[in-house]
Amino acid sequence: MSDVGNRRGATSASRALGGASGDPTFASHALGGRGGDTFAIDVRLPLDRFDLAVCFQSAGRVVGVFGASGSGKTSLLESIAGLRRGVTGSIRVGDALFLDSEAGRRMPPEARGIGYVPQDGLLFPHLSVRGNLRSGAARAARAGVDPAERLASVASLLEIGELLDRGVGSLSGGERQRVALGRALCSGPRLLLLDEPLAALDLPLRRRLLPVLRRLRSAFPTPILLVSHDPVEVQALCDDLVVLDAGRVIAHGDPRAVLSDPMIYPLAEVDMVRTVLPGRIERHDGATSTIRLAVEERGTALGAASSDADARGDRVDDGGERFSGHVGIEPVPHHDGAERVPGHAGIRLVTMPASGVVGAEVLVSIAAREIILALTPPAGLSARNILPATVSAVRVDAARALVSAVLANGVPPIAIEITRATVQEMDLAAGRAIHLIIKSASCRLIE
Amino acid sequence: MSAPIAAELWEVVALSLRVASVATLATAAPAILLGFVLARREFPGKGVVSAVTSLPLVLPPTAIGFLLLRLLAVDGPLGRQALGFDLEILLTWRAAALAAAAMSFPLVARTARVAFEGVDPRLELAARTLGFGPVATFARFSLPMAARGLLAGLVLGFTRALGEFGASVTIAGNIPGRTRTLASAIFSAQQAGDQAAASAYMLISIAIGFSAVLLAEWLARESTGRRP
Repeated sequence: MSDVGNRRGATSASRALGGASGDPTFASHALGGRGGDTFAIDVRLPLDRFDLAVCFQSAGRVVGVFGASGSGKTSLLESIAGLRRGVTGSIRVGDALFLDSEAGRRMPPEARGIGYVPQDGLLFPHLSVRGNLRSGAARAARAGVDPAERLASVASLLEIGELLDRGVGSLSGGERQRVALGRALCSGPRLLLLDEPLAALDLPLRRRLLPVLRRLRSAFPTPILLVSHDPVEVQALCDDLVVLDAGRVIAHGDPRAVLSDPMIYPLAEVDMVRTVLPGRIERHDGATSTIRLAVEERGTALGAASSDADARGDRVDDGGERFSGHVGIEPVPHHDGAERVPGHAGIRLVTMPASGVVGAEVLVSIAAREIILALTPPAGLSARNILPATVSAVRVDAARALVSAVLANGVPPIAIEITRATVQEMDLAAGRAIHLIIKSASCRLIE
Repeated sequence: MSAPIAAELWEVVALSLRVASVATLATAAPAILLGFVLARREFPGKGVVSAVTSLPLVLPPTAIGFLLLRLLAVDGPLGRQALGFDLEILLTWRAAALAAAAMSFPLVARTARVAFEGVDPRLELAARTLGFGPVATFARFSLPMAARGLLAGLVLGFTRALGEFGASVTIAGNIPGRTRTLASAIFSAQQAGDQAAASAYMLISIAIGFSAVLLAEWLARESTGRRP
């Protein structure tokens, strides 16, 4: 996933942090261990309903764990945190070996250096907000992070400076979750484990906090494992996605490619497939705004890889073998823009008016069933966006078809939902040139 | 009220407070630890441990007193013959404190267990992920989060110790100036037909008990309540 903020230099948040690249914890732990993987997970844990047996490697820095409720997501996270007894196998995050049960190595939870944020926040009721944020200060200091400096930067990033002297009992749901995120960040973690951090909140609040998580993601180069069953959240935040079902990995790969698989998206328990694309406000035109989509040069290879895989038309329900580990986006050093090049002319979307200032980062969310396909550029339409694209994959299930189309190299593929009959009538297949017709009103902005 | 009676009153009150305080301080740590273990850990024989420590709640206090007497008697397992020296407990204020401790221990342990069970164990796990080992997690999170219930338990234990009579009179006796506490003083005054003295002791008992409960509630509010 592209991160426009970093490409254009430090965001205000990362400036406030004084450049996280100077942080020795992150320098040694942030990215790439042996084999370049951020995560190498192979855990087994007997549960009441099934045995958890999760195996994956990922080079992604922010990895999503997706699946229906009861699929073992939280058990996996708690196993990685060291909070479950009876876990066997091996867990490596960056350079740190948390578990190697064959060698009899089992790091206690307090030594793992984890920032854990559960769904309900689990704030300490006997401490104020400041007390909660400071509770991991000793660990942060051991990890070479200045606790006071970190607290100040985290409070400004998460906009909780006003709450510091409050008791946690008086906080609203959204405030609680921001404080929980802040407590984790203030402890100087080498890994963030976020277990549906926004799931307890209502949808509008979740969407308002999503940009906060995006800022957190770019301000701290810490690897993140994010459990979520919200496809929008996953696309907005994750480089790589692992899908669990009954304790096993059933798919693994680029979030948008995985989520547009008809076998996978029903797990989201939402009625519509949506594509979420990062971008920046380019200008306001009165009744509309123009958003320039973020382009990720490093994503080109990925786009090709997933297109190839998609073009084969095979499903991702083969135990995850097809995607295992190598389709995910390479980790991008977020503290240093050197490896990214400025985007080219770029793809623009005309949307309903954005509330942010020109240059502000936004996410555009487009429902797959609201996009119309055309083989030739149509004329005389009211829709503001008519974009040439190339079909990268067509996947069909009993009821409908999901077409993935690429607008340009480096822009993540967009999912379009059509009927099976349309696929045949239009003769759609990978490589076919098409036009996407998208109304401004269909481009929902998250900012 | 004449001076000698006032002096005697003060003696009884001071001894009662000393006995109850020593009993409470001595039982606090082990009772709270036991409560924590019973709330958080599973181990073989847990039911038996729980039942044995609750015995003083269900037995007549004189039975507990007699049990302690057998343990501490000259020929008992903790007596002079077995140890080779005298612990010098029986018929002293220390015996009263021991009896009070034995009787209030289960109350403190049980309320501590309930207090710890009222703390979400996942909060303790959250503390572990923040870098705290098991001991630090207990001291810095479990204890303060259960503070309200623990304080209530300690006050309950203190007032129980203050009111102890049956076990105390069995091993400490009712010696004026040495082992006569409020509870035994009320009994003696009433037996001697001294209604005025019995009433005075009763009113003092009420005052102390009432203050202790108020203090506990205030402490609980201060420790867990509102913040500015």
